[in-house]
Amino acid sequence: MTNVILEVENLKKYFPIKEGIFNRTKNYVRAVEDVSFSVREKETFAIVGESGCGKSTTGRSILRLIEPTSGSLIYNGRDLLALSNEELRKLRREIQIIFQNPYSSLNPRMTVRKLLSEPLEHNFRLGQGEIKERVEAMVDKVGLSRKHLDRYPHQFSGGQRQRISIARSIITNPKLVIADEPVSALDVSIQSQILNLLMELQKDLGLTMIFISHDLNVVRRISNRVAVMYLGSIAEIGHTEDIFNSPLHPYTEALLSAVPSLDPTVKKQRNILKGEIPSPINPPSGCAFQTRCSKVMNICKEKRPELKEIDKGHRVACHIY
Amino acid sequence: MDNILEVKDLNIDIVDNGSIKSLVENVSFNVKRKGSLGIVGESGCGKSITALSIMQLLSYPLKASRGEIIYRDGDKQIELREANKGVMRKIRGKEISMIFQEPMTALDPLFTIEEQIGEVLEIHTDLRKSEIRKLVLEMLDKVGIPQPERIMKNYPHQLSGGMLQRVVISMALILNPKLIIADEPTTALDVTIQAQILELINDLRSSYDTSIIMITHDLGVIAETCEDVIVFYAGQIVEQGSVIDIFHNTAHPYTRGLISAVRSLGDKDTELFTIAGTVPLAGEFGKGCRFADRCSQALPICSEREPELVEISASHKSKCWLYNGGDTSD
Repeated sequence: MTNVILEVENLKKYFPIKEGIFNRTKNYVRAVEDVSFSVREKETFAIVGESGCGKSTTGRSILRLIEPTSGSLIYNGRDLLALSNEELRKLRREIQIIFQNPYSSLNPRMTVRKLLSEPLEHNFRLGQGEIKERVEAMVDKVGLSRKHLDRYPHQFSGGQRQRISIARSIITNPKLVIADEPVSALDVSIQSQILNLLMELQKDLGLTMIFISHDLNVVRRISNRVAVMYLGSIAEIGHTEDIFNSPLHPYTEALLSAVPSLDPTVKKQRNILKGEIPSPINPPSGCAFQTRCSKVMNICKEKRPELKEIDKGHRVACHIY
Repeated sequence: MDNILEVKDLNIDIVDNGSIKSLVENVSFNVKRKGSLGIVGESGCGKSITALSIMQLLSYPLKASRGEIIYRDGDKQIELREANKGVMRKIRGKEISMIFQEPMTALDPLFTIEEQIGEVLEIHTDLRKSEIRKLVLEMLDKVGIPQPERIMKNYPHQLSGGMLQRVVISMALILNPKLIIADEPTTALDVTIQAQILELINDLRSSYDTSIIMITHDLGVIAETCEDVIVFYAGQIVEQGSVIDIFHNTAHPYTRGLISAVRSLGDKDTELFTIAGTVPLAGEFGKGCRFADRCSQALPICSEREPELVEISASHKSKCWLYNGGDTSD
């Protein structure tokens, strides 16, 4: 059994909606509602779902870029929520994030050399010589050239910029990397270059990765385990093969059948969801998915289903099971 | 052959710091009546500006510098590039209409849904207010908007992305145009909503006998909705054919690369297929094939001379030396 590196329990994040001259809290956006999962060392754990399902909020809460409303986050035996700012700052060299948009996540006024040196200067006491050495080794590693070091972000293409972002995230030798839609802004031919790079780095450096994405094809390829989120909760969680080959939750089924097929001669039997994702300000009673589910029962409207283990390591939150 | 639109040798240029760069070069294609043509390519390949040029929506510094765009309807034949503003105004919306990528920005935030869809009818028809209202209501119902009486009084910010795209589609369809140009209509939407919208477009197309040009970077969307396909690379058509030609008898190494990059996602054991390098920028094209630097099958001639778009079967063309026989004699 491999070690658990991160344990997320009952994570909740409510964003207050403030209104009026006294800025009173009128209501809450329930972005993450009671999410629990654990991530094992050196695995790629994917969180997949549609926009607004809470996948990015979950990712950012782990780094405390967003302060969770409640819940617990245990990283290697340490409670992340109990850390002081100083302890947190120190820990962030071990937990890093790669953002979606390489056009906005890099400071346009810094050269690549500066962008990559900064995390080292902040986190370690190193001499200028050693920083230079590590930065140069890192650009080689992510497939950029040393002559790129004195250029600014705007001089690079989207794929190259994402390489810079990745280099910046892994230069502090993190153990856990949270990749938040790292290839969504890229073209198909560039997307696979970046995915190959991420898989290679993970193997070489022994990284644990939390991979957040809406793209099911990418998730299937890159991850060992998957959590499917819907409206702030986990609908289903399990090994990648189990989720894709024998999905249990009606939402997972619909999500998989919605992916267009690449073969024009195959007309897929579609199970097209009716309606829209409900608002997280005013979520439906009972199961979050009941308003769109084709197999809805009476109990679904009244009681929230708990995650239940159906098969080894395969859990689903649905009253059918 | 019955075509609704014929584009011949279209060239689009951009004026950049006083110099002129070519963005789209010698592009020719036809859209069959009741047909569906997919245009696929990566960002910056020129697919969207080609669409805008059909609608005569290019503005400085972009300009369609050469070529013909002929719209045919029965005996009527209009050369859109020479059409004056008055003629174009009658064509846009009524004969040819467009669905844009971002429904959030395609609608005016200051007007209600009813006002925005109604405006199309006010401009193109003599209908009375009450009739317009009735038509708008019917149209919203057809595109699957629940409680249309309530939704039509809403402003765009009150609706979700999928709902807004339905509104944009109903605006594009309300005058029953003969041709719809859909520029990445589902790119900004989630997969479950994308499946709804694609099904809606397919249903409406068969019930209205509309032709469609579907512009997208998503090969899956093309495979599901189009009969004919053209593949753009760096401002040129590199492959053109029926959807079966493109996916089952793929000819151009670039198209093959795109398809393999997506397909290899399904294969866990091998490294992901990639196309090395990046797309060349406009103004930095070499004299040979624009894909030569990234092509795994490049021949010596590829970086020397540009291949022609040649026929490899009755319905299928490819712009590649592998199919020109690598013939260097003439």
